[in-house]
Amino acid sequence: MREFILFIPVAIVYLSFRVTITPNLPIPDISVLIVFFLASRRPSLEGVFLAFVLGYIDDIFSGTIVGSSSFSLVIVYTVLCFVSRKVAFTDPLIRGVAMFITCMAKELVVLLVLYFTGIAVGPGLYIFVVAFVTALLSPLFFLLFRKASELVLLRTERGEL
Amino acid sequence: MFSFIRRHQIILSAFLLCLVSLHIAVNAERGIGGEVIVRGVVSTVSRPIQKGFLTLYSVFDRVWSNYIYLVGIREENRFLHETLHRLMEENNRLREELLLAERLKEILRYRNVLGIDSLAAEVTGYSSFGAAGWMRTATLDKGSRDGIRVDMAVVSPRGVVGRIIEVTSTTSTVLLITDPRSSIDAIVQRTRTKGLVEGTGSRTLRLKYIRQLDDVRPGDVLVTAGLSGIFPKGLEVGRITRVEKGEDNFFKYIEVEPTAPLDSLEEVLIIKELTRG
Repeated sequence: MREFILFIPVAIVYLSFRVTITPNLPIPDISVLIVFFLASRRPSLEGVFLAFVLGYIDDIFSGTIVGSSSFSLVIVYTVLCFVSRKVAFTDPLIRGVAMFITCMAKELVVLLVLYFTGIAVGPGLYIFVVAFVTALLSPLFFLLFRKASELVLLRTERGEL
Repeated sequence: MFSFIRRHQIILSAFLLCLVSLHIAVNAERGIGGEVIVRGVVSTVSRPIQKGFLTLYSVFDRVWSNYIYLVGIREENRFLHETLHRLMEENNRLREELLLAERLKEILRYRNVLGIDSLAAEVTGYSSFGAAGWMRTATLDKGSRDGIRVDMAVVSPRGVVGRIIEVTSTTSTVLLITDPRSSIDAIVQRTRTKGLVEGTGSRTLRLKYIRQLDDVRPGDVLVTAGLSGIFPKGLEVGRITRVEKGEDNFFKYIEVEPTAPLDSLEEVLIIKELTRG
């Protein structure tokens, strides 16, 4: 529940910012960042549901077919859960590369879902740039997520949340 | 059974959620999956946030366009002002050069028309002496070093200017035809009546010794008679503006306006030899 309390408002605020101020700029994909952060840290049932909800919200904000991102993020989360058992994403370079691949994979799965729903969209340069920016800025986001998680955990333990 | 589910709860729930997602995606057009409700909730929550971002953005935009962006504008404005002044000066200089070239072209053309040995000179100054400023001379930038001598005629493409009365090695002084000391033999072009054109110390000339019987009218053109040996024959001197009966009953009182712009001359021709080349 802690993750929901923290990451759902963060995602809504971030996506509001994206659609209002930077609709055409390639800024990091927050939903992939959150899913990656949660899956690589501590896989949980709550994480799968959070991935689904984040995908749902992402779809609503980006105006694509609802269900495409949630499908994609749930798959991404599940795969990452298994991969993180074998690979430790502690090295920033490995984490960056993994982040880039995850971001690309998420977008490609979304495109695949869109294709099967009758919308044929090819992967553009924009997806590549967003994946690159996401990977590049992931250390900063993970640092913020870690600090925020610790803060929420502390307040939960105190009974403030 | 329960332990299997518990052990594989992540993958089982992921599988279920994937199916749900696909179901929603495939049936998106029919609004299945409570999409409308969720969209409404998300938009209700995000609307104030988006408004806040828009307000922040407009404040930032205002501050940027009204203050920060204008910091460089002052410097740019100063630079543009300097450039404008420099270009205006340059433009003015080029215009002057163009006018000079046109005038010199006219002088050269006139020199070729005259067909006599002459030298172009620049007027470097005007002088008016005497209590009423009636003595009128002009200084030229050519002198004895250029072969200029006293009593050489000075003309312009528009008409007679005067004669040289003083020469130094590098400059010479022209007695303008409006000076009271100046007198030129002239002929009325239309009737060939001869007279003497004298300066009056003002902007006009006076044609003397024209009898009451002679046919002279305002508008008649006066040209040099070529009798003095200074001016070649046939150069335009002026145009008659006023004809009256003289006080002495012998001669008419005739006022003439010089055709050469004597107050604004810049380049002139000095006639060195009267013989045509």
